[in-house]
Amino acid sequence: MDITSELPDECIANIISKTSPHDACRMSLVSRTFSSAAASNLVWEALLPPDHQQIISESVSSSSSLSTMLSKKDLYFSLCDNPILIGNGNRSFTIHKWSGKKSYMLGARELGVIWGDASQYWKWSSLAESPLLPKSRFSEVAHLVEVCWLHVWGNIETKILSPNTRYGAYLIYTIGDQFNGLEKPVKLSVRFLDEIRCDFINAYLLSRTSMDDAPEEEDAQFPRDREDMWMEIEMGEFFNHDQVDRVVEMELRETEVLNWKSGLVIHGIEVRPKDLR
Amino acid sequence: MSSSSSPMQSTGRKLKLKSKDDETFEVEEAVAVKSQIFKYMVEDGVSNGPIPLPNVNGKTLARVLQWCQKHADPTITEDELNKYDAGFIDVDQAVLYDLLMAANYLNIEELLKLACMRVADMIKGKSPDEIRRTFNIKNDFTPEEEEEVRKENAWALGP
Repeated sequence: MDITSELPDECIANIISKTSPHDACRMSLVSRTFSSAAASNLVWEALLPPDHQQIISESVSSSSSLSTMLSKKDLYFSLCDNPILIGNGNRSFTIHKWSGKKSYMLGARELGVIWGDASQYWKWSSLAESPLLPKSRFSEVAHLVEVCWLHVWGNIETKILSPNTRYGAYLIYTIGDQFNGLEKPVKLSVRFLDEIRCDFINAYLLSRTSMDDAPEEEDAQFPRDREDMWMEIEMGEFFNHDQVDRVVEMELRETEVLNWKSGLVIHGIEVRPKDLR
Repeated sequence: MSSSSSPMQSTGRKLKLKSKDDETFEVEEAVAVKSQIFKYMVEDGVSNGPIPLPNVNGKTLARVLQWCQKHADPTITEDELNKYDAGFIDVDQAVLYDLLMAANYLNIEELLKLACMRVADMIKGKSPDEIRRTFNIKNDFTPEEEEEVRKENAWALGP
């Protein structure tokens, strides 16, 4: 007996709404009934982050018609594929497609940058001024002119993230045409501000292939290339329990060797679910 | 004993229900109103004689009423209720369907939610083919339709 032929469509939608975005899409293939139930607003309203309306309404980039014109399913995929700018335009929000969890990126202007205000050390430029760079989501990116003391960090509040989720923090950057001193390892860390302990990991900002003497270390982080042409390197991870008010700090440092470094271009820090495809 | 009445304090009135296989049940109003259907009937005063339920068999109705009884009990803690629900819904597929249909027909929100959640857990992670097999569903797509849907949802398929 095919129970689904006896259940009202709303009931089937109810069941699908309790699975996950990728399950819901897979279920579209089961039968026509499932296909229509799986596309319903009931399902995607449940799969969208509970506060998506509020986030969209506070966005500085999306039009207010975004949420009224699209079906909930289309809205879901729109937010997955097109990050929206929030805050004062220096942060972006998107949805992690597979899981439906919230993802954010802190633009360079949202980050703490030691010596960032001094133009002999750091330069801030817009997309128009740097046509050769990968496209920036934000109005400005940070160019390292030269520093000895490299220290960049970002903070994010756990209450804006999806609960009960493991998140990874990723520095999104690229290396300019002229660069210097970036072959030395840097230190990366991710920790809750209320924790005393701080574990730094070693990392190399240059990709293995671009270094003449690639280091032998196995437990250092190396970058990977992204589809959007930026590079990213994992700074660390944390688990966001169902708690409200904690702050996570993500840091990049080179403050030991203190050699002169230049040519690093920072797009921002991305915080997205880890290990969820 | 004070005479202040809580909703659970029985008015003493019972509802008579008759399953589709002619089994009769007597249930206190306070318990029966977990079902929105019965709630309206009670409010409208339409509760003389046994209420026929042609869509629910006796075995299922007995189970459902037992659930309602537990959930109408004012002394039970949330923890106990959760444990009870977990055990209650851990049944084989045929029973689960009957509960799902009954909860839907009788409009018992919490029980419907519980049953839907259980079915959802059963289908999470399964391929469309596996889901069809589990529920005996016929693939009624034309090959062209199926290809279209497959393309649309390609990102969710695969290893």
